[in-house]
Amino acid sequence: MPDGRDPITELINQLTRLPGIGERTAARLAFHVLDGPPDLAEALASALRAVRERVVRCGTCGHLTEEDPCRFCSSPRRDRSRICVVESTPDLLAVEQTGEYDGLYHVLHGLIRPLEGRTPRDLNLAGLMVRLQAGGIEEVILATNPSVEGEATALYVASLLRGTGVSVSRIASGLPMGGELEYADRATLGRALSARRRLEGDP
Amino acid sequence: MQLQHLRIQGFRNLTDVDWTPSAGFNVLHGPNGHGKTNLLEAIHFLSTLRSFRSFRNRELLQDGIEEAKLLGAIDRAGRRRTLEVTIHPRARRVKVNESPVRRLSDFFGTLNTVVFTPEDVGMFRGSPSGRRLLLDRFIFNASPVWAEEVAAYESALRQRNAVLKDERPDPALLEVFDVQVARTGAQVIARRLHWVDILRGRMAQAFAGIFDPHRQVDIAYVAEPELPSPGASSPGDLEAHLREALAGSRRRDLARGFTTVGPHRDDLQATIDGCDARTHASQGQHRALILAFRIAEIRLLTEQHGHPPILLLDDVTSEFDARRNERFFEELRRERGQVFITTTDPAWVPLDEPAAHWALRDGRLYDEQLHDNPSDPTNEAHS
Repeated sequence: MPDGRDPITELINQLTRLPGIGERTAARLAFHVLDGPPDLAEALASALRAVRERVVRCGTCGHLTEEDPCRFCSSPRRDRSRICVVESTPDLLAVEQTGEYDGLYHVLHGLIRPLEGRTPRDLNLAGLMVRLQAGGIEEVILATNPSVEGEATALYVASLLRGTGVSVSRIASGLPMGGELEYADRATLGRALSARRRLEGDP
Repeated sequence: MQLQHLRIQGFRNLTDVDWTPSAGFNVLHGPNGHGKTNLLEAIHFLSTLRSFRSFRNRELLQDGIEEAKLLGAIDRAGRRRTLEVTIHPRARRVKVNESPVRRLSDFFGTLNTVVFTPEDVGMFRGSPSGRRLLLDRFIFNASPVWAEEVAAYESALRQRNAVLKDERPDPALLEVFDVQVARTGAQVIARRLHWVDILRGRMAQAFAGIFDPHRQVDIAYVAEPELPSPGASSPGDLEAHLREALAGSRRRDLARGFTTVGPHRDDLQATIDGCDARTHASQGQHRALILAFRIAEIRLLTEQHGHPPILLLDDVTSEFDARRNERFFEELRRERGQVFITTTDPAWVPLDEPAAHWALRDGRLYDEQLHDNPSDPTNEAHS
């Protein structure tokens, strides 16, 4: 009888629905809400409500935003011939923070994971195809994770774009900056070797 | 490498063990069902995050307990590290030197163990899955990144199988996972081939030197369809080979709903004078084969790391005759590593050098040095 449950248990149960939160962490958070600063619960509740009410998906790229179209899609200063495809909004922000990219984005909101029932139909792919048909796009950069699912999703998107005349590229994966070869795993080192590049200035 | 201290809480029948084992031979005895094997299993879990006899965490937890804890202090070539593993019914958490680890390959390789159980004796007669495990466990000790390579392959395989089980499988999606399975599978096969190539000479040597110099023993990695020639077995070649194999088996895979080719189906074949051991070897030869494999494994790991792995011998001496026991222990003494041996009867363990004796009763560990030190009858191992 869920209605009769006491509010603390209910809060703990709801918190465990969040990713990365186990029962113990949920209990710690719940009791902190009770014992912590008096305004915390109210502030948290209104922030949670606001995020649901005011944040929407950009109708063009899928970025989570208060304005539709989002600040990237509506910006006159961005390179409109390139789209960087990412798994999620945090990934978009990570790419943006590099300062190396001034094109547009497209957020898939997930990766293909057949095991969890996530198929290409569950991703924001139709929107990407619409944008490409509208024209003007010269390059699509696939910036999904270098995991099995990220690679598979990138390969799948690439197969959709085959024959559209758009240039498709995949972000490089390899050794981390400041890393040491000796400690790199074989898959990473192998990938870094096969995707090696010519040194600038080398004739 | 040495396990200097071990603390176990809530693991099977081991409610609370706080133990400082000897750096050499540790002989654990006691009646069956009192926790001898559980203790070896705990050490093995601390080393590999897997049990050698159960696939479910639940079975490892004491009844009514939701969390078991293993805490080990390891000395590895003079460097001290602590490993901590917390086991829950559906999860486990690991810490090295009291900090959570980000990548499992940072955890693995700190504590290398080789386990030997009575069931291993039928290894070269039984199913391919046992032999794959035999080989994979060795590679796991030899190179820590192996665990990640296998995990990547298994993940790709599970996703491909999920597509195959779909009501109307999407051919484009299947294609994408064929690429992933082939790419990760090629890494797995390449590494297995590399180590089989090194192991085979050592195993033949061990067999000839210890058991029978007149018989030629060999092992070979067997895949279906047959792998490209040894000259063309770079990861790139293997990937192309797997792509082809997967394309060839696609119709069958779709009908059955799972992937029927790849390294998860491969085998390790042992031969004696060119004859398949599965069908041609005698009972005695089977025992000698697995012993030769273990000795080759221990010697290679000793070379690889500069110190011997920790050996966990679960009641194996009862499986061998006196002469083989003698030879095996001669070999173990040579390496001078830390060894844990369980036995129902210490007389089975042919040791003529000092060993620490411990008794296990009802999940509690007792120091059994009583024979050496009768003046202190309350010499309990814990607390």
